[in-house]
Amino acid sequence: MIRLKLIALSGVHFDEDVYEAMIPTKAGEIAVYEGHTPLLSVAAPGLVAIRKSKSIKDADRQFVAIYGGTVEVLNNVIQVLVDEVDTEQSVSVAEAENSYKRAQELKNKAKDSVSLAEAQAMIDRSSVRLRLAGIKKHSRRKY
Amino acid sequence: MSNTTALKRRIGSVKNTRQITKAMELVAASKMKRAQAQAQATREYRVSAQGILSRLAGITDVSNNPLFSVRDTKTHMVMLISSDLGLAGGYDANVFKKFTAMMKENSKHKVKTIAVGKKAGQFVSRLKEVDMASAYGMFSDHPSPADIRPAITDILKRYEEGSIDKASIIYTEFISNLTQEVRVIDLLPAKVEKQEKVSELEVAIFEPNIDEIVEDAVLRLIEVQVWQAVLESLASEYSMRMVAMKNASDNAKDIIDDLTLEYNTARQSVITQEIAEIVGGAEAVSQL
Repeated sequence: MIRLKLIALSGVHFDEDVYEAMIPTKAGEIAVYEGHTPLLSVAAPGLVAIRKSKSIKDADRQFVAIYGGTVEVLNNVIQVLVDEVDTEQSVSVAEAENSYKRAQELKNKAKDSVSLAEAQAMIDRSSVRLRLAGIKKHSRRKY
Repeated sequence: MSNTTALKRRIGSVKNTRQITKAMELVAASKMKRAQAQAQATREYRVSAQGILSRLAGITDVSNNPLFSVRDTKTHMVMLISSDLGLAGGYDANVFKKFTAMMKENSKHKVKTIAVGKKAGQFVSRLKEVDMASAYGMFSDHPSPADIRPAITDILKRYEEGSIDKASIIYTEFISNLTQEVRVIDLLPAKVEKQEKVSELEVAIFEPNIDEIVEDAVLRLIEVQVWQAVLESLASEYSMRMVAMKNASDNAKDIIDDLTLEYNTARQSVITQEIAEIVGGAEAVSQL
């Protein structure tokens, strides 16, 4: 087991021992298990997939959306400093779809490179949220 | 008669005022608790960001990063955190006093300010020798980290351009419900305590590369410093407003007591006079 800590400005959002954590980084997705080599990385917007014990199936993992962060793996502790966190409980499918559409519109309207980059960042964020909402929709788990 | 009516009216109006100050006291108390809890929640983030950065500093030379570069101070950017509304005791005055003292201390370089809160905006706009870079309202009752990002981006951009050489924040630290202290912290150039080499990190993997990780971590540290300063200031503001309103309520109570005493005396003397008149009248009639 390895300790996973998701720390945001608004407080600690996750602090538990897990079997496996999949973290999206700028250099690709990494899976971290117990005894991982020390690692420092920059997280990319995406979903952190948490498997709390070995027997949990892929579809039943817990997902948390992050939008970039700093990752440190040291002494069997994963620390992820993130801007904000969205959980399956906190996103709604309709809202995520709406914000994705809005971001897409903004991108189409964008005239200069700054607003284009901003719109792209918004699309990235809302698509992460949308993926999280999609998982929630198809999941058989009850909340 | 007119004297007692006037007194009665005054008691009524002071009572109304007291109701308002009492309500403001309670509102400030509950807002203070929330700001305090939020400030507490950021502590872990700050500790972690500092930890990661100082471990990084132990294995690499962070001064390669432009945000760590120390230059001669020609222009100093100061972020003043104040309130939007008054009636908070000496809250704003204390911040401004510190700022004025700081200006006197180093009068050689230029000062630019970012004013947070309407009061700071008004104060700075009256100073001729200070250049106001930008002004923000105090973030609402439910501030979010996204609110402070424009200010941080602005500071970082100016620092990288070289139009400012140093950046500090003046804010009020919340020590306890009764004690708050104005503090100055230097944001830029970024500083980090070098930690002894963590041997495990020598074999560590850095993805994509160590410079980018340093950059990311230092930005996070700056962000959390500003955010914490805002929350501490908010908690202090509410706590000072609470104390100010408590004093106002207590004073109102004293005034009400005094006026009630005066009113009763006046009422009693009216009654005494009336009785005296009746007795005098009856005497006069019986002597006829």
